[in-house]
Amino acid sequence: MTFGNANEMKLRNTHIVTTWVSNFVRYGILALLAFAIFGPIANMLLWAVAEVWYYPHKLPLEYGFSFWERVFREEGNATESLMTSVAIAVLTVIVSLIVAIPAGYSLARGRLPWRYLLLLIFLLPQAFPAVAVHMNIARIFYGFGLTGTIPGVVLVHALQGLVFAVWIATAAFSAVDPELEIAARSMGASKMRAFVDVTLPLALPGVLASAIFVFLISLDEFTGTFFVGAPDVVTVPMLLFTSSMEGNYQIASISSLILLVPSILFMFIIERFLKADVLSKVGA
Amino acid sequence: MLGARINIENLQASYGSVQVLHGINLDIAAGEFVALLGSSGCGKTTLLRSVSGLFMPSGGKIFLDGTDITTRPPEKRNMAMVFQSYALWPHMTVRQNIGYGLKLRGKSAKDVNQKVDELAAMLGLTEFVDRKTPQLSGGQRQRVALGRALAIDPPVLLLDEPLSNLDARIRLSMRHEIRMLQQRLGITAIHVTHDREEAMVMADRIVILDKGHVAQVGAPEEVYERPANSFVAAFMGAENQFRTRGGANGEAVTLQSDAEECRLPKSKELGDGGVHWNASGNADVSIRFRSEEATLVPQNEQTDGFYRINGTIRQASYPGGVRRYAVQTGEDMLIVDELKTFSEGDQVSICLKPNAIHVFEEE
Repeated sequence: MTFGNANEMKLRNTHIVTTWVSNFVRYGILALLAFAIFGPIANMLLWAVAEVWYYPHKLPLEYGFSFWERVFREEGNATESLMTSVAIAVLTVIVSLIVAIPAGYSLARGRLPWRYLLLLIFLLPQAFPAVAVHMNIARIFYGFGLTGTIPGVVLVHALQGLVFAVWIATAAFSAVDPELEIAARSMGASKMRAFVDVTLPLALPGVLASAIFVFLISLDEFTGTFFVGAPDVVTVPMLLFTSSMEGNYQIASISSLILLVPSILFMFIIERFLKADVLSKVGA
Repeated sequence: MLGARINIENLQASYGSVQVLHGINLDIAAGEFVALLGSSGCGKTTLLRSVSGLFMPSGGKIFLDGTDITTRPPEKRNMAMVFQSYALWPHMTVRQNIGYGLKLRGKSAKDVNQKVDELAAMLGLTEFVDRKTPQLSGGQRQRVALGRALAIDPPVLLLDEPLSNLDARIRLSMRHEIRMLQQRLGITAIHVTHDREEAMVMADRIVILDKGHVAQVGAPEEVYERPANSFVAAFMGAENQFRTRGGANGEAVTLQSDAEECRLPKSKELGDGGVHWNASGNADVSIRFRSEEATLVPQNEQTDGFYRINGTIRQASYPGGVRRYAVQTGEDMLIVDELKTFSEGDQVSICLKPNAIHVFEEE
């Protein structure tokens, strides 16, 4: 201990300095990231509680909740459109799962020929400009009397949600060892029974994640709703669009905040349910 | 509950255009323990899966107690399978895993619990019944898998390399446990393995498969001491092979050894101590023997009643208990286990007792 004390001190000092520098860099990067993520949100929060705010002032001149009152007032349509949004989202999830569970299972078990082609077909609507796709869908739906109806909007949302639902469900089912299902069959379970008792419960976290994903996509969807639903079906994003167009940033911000709530809930749920081995198989 | 009889007739199976089973014929008696032995890719697992209904054969028939079950779905065959991966359901407890088959058969919760407790006690799992299976050790999982299969009182138990993922020590004791259980319950068992010793100690009869054909069927002593062909002999441990000239007539066998001809008794039945002759007439033959059944003597030492071949020790090693020597004889390198100590370069004779010699047709 007595010898080399000076050396040790020197070493320790350099060590402290390098740690300090690396910490500085690390926190600096974190701060930048945080700004990139939370900056726009902070702006939105400010707008949500701003009563009066105009150029060149950096901050609102008056704060208050009068716009919140306006949004949630009977005539404000916020509550009603939130209900519509949630109802459409729930129905979209149901429709998507009805397709995604069997499709994901078959794709995962590789019993379908051309499985990659099929996965690509689900991707196809995303490959074209949404406006063009939705305009044509609206035209077709008009023929079936689906425009301006909730089922019409649900179908449009499901079309977009299915890409993710099928891909995630495929990953979830791929993560389940087929031998577990075979074991159930050998114990005397029919194909369906083995699926319900073994495969589905094991794939459930992934299927749930895909459900939440679809739910969020539906909540957020705009162009499809605009072309197929407007003006009879008013969802929160539609409300947001109208108020933005009118230059009413307060109402737009408050609507965005309402939309943010399910997104944050999603983060928590996905973190709890989605296992890494499922995520790693997405698209595999 | 007694076991069921299984008859397999001319069974064929293929994966796409690759045929893996070329007409298998096999009759398994009720309560018999049969091991399907072979190296990977020989078709043993495919054969087992065809019996279980998990794989659809492309031809032939399978009968269970005389009834044709070739196309019957697996859940209607009443056979229970134990998998190499154990295939336990991780979202269920040990109790739920073992009780699943009974639940499917509509047994009341009380009956299921009683049976599970019984099996858990028999398999030493009582304290684990409420655990989820990922929390168990390999040996415990193996027992759960066995318990799950036995819970439904299956007339036929199918074992697909159930021991190969276990530690060597547990594997040895599980062999005997499974065998004892099978004998006690009187059920028919088909066991797939690539481990010769495992097949030998567990089975009543061994079926040796080679590239989708049955190479030999017989009791352990039979396949060990009277291998039907060179492949079986090699698989049964007679890895050493060399060529020579030989012939047989009636009681005796003549084999060319270095300079002279050696006359040895020919075996007629198991355990009579003679040479196992499995070639046709007088011609070039191929001799196979096991390393542990040969002895080494210095070349100048006299012996009596042995077949001898001279060679030079090229390598000496010590695997434990005995010493292992690589002996060069002509162009062949033969491995011999011997207690005595020799050094590399020593001139020795490999001595084979008549019953250590298996003679096959030159390949």
